[in-house]
Amino acid sequence: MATRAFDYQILAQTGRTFRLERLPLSSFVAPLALLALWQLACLTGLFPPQVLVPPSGVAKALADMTASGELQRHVGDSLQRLLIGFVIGALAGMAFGATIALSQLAEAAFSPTFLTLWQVPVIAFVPMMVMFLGIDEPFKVAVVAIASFFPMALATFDGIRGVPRNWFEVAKIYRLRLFQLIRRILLPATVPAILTGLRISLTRAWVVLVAAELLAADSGIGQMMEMGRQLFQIDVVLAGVIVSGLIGFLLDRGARWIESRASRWRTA
Amino acid sequence: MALLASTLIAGCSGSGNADGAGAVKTVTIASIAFPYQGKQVFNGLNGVVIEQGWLKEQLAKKGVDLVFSPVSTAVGGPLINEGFSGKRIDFAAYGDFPAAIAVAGGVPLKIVAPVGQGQDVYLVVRKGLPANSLADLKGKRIALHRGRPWELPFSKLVDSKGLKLDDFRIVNINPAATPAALESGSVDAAVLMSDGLLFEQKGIARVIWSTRQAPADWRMRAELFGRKDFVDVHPDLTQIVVEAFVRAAAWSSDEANKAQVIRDTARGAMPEEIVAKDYANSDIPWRERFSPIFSPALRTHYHSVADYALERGLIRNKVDADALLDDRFVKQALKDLKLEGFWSQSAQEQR
Repeated sequence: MATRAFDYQILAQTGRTFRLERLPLSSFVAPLALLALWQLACLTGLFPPQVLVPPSGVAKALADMTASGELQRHVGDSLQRLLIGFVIGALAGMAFGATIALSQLAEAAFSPTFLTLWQVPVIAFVPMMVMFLGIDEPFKVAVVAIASFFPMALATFDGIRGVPRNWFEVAKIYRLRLFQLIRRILLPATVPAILTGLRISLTRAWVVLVAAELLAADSGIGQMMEMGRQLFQIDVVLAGVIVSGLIGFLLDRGARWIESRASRWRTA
Repeated sequence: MALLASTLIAGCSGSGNADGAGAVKTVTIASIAFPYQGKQVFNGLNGVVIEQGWLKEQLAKKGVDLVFSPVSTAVGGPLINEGFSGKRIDFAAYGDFPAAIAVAGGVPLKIVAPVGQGQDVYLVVRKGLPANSLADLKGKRIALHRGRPWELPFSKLVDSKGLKLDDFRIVNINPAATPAALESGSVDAAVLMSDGLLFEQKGIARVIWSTRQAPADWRMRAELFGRKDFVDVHPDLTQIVVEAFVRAAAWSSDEANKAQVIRDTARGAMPEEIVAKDYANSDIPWRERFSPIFSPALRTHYHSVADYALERGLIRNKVDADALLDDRFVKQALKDLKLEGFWSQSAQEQR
């Protein structure tokens, strides 16, 4: 089970909590330095301000697009796709992960295929998905669902397989039924792994969604950036970069908060 | 962050190279290219310039390399604009609207030589859709790759019918992705160049409108654009580049070379008969098709492009159309090549 050990490692690494409040000052150094460097590059005058847009230009683009409601519309469309796709993908991933973890037959049958597909970037499926699903909402929801399915399935699988074997033996002695086994033992024991899986799925799904919107969409934050690129409105492109980065950061942060609350409850 | 810093530094030093007077090592010309027999081939005048080899020789005499930079039609103008803004390319033969976008976006360009008389734009609907006019497409999905030259004629059509872009669901996909979208019904219609005729021939779509039914000025145009800083600092190199394009135009305008021009234009892009049909449709005499003359119609066209794009909010700053035109190189080339009077002065008004 070399792959499992490897996957564990990934989850452990990405799952390590990083506390902002512990580093109040130093965490602002990088973004501030970046801003300063950016502004400095603009001041050199090597490129006209439309090409190398200064931070203030991007702020103005953000303000203008917020005032016109354009930004909210794009962000709203993207978040709606994320929510629907994520719920579908995460639930399916959990069910699948639990199935291959609990049944050796299912594991033997599905896990090689699953581990192969997991290695394929979701974006590689886009042309085929456009053929079958068109370029409307079902396509984008499906992209999100697929992107969240894999990390979720893996996390669930590892979470359940991580439950010590003797706990199952205890369950057997107490003659717990499947439902009770899930409720009394599996659920509490796998909550941390599953929450980590949810967080990874969510942030990964967001990145993939923005990329898919760049390729084919009529709205959404990715499409806003693509349109900006095509019409050479670099301020709009950069505004999109900042907004999508910020949303990704907040999604991750929110999920970590839930994760830490949940694990606190568990240790209490 | 280190990455960003290095990009910025690379960007600055790159531009330094390109602009230092007399320090030019390469002249880079970007243009749409098509994959053909495992290579990227340039069609139109770019292909002829490469074939003739004259430009490469002349630049080599000055110790300057010639690089043709291929751009896929799936990306087109926006990629060329990024190249111009990063000062990575010096010339590009490409469309009117993307060039206006670049100029409005703070990348000054100049038209140093016209490369044709405009191309027709087609509105097609997917097979089986009973629409016969733009009005029938209200509320339907139309594939339109934004920022490409065919956006303006389409926008003018929409206006002329008293409609708005919002009356349709505009789907921003490139021409390469369009046939699959039409076939699967993901889009109901598409705005295209001569690919529209190709899709009709293949039975995927049906042409319901083209710029042939509109005033001559609605056709999209392409020219040889030069980066203003480069043209200003290196008029000698610009003159050689323009002369090469005028030579190529003269060769292409010869009726005897018509079959080969059509054959070369078709390479990797579409069947020869579609190119021939598109050419025949336009009613432009063969001799005038590749005319490099700065006709009054050319000036009017760029005024119209600049005003219209600004009025529609497609560009955010006014483009000075007069400042865009720089006819001194073509005039000189015609004189040097003794081609004055070879092309008519007002070809476009003939239609």
